[in-house]
Amino acid sequence: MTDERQSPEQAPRTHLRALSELFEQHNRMLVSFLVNRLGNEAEAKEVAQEAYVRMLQLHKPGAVSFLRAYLFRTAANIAVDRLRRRTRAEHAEPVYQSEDLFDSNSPDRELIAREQLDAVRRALLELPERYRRAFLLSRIEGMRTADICKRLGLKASQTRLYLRRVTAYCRLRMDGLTEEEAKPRVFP
Amino acid sequence: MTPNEHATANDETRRLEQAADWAALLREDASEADIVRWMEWCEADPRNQDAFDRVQSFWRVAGGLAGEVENGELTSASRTESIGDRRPAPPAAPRRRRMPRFAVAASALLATVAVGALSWNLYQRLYWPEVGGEAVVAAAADPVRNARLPDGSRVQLATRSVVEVNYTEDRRFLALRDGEAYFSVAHSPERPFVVHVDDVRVRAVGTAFNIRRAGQRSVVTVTEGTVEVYRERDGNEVRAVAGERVTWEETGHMQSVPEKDSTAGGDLRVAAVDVSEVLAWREGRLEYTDEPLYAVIADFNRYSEHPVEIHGDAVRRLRFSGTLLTDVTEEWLYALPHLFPVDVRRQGKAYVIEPRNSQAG
Repeated sequence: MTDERQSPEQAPRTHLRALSELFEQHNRMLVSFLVNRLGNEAEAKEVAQEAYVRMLQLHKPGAVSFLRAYLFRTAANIAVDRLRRRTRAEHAEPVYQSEDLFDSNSPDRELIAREQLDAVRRALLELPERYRRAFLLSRIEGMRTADICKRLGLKASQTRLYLRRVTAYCRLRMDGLTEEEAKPRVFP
Repeated sequence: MTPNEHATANDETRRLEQAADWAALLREDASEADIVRWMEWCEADPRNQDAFDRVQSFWRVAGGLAGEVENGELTSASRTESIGDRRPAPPAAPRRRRMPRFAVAASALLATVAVGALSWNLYQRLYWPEVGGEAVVAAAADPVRNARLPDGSRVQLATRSVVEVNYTEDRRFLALRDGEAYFSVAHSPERPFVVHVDDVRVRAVGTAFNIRRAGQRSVVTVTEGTVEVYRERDGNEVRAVAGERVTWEETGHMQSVPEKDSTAGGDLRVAAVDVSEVLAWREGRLEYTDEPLYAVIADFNRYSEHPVEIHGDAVRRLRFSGTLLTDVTEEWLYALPHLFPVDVRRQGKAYVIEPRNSQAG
């Protein structure tokens, strides 16, 4: 019987082994990185796989440190392409589909997700309007820092400060800290 | 708050802020150097990675507000004073995008996916639409694929076999989608280890066992410990210990290919078995004793580039005993007419096995 091996298998064994190790060591981080970019886990995993396929087609072995950076760069490029293809309408939707949250075997999941959403909404409303707007433009409108600066008349460092504080504050509130406990931590 | 607690609290807040900065940077124009620095930051302290994950999960939850934002502001912002008393109406259910349904528990993340898998039907195989979990796949060119699962259990997969893994904190669910796999289960009684074969559940009790799906026929062989096999649709349940096997066939197809000694079609049946024979696939040998030919051919088709079809129920029901070497499948096929009253003929890239002389002339 003829053995019809696919071209990636012809890559040198050492390269395959290096990639395999890379995959095992960094898959979680790569998916985490891509979820951050793309907003959903299923697509993040798809892109991670696509990145590995591209790496397999790269026939020259390299140092693992090079491969690692290259893998993330490759994945980032694929993610950027995908984001470009998304229409404005898709962007306005919650990029994390609630089905991601609710599709679970536990019936409590939906309730927990609702409670978390309520906590985040409440936390955002406790913050100054300019903070909240900067965050919503970033998260919901998908705007980049530079565009948020223009829209709100802020300096880049201010926008970054706002996003940083909103994130830390809301996360602490999600974790059950009260407004009185969380505010002094984030707003010194 | 003691000074110590105060320092810890500050520390945690700073981590969250750093994570927020990283998340923002990585969403925009991160250079390769940025990515490397981010990874170093994550690896420097597990609390960093944890903070990053928590920031991500906040980011995800906040996406649920999309239906409540107009012109960059929450619609509920104008009535902030009443927010404690009334819950804003939940946003309209978001339009479902076509997307595989995944369980998202972080614990379901599997770091072990065979690299060789990538060459073979990648997307179809890695993303089964109907079940959550990550797939472990064995490639066409690899006779045996070893995978270690997050709990330390091990799976060996035969060529072109697919196992899905969906772990949570309190259970270990897997599914054998296709092919054959040998499971060595890490002992963890409070976290059941259950392999799904369609609606049949194979539950391990401190165990190693093999499952083979071949056409409509499935066989569980126990090499260590005990398994319980339970079928959802009819509540049929059996137990098997080391040295025994459980077989069943899909009822929908039972009429055409009945077990010769079966009275109630599709029952889970327990019988003694030679375990070493069953596990020989790991050395490139498929060994059969009195196996229906159609099930042998279903295995054959996983190992061969040339799919084989069987014409005629009488041929499907023939019983094969012997060895199929997985690297010389074609030769085995040509030997069949010496064993059985059949003809083997080529049809394009495929082969057909049919009753002898059925092609007149």
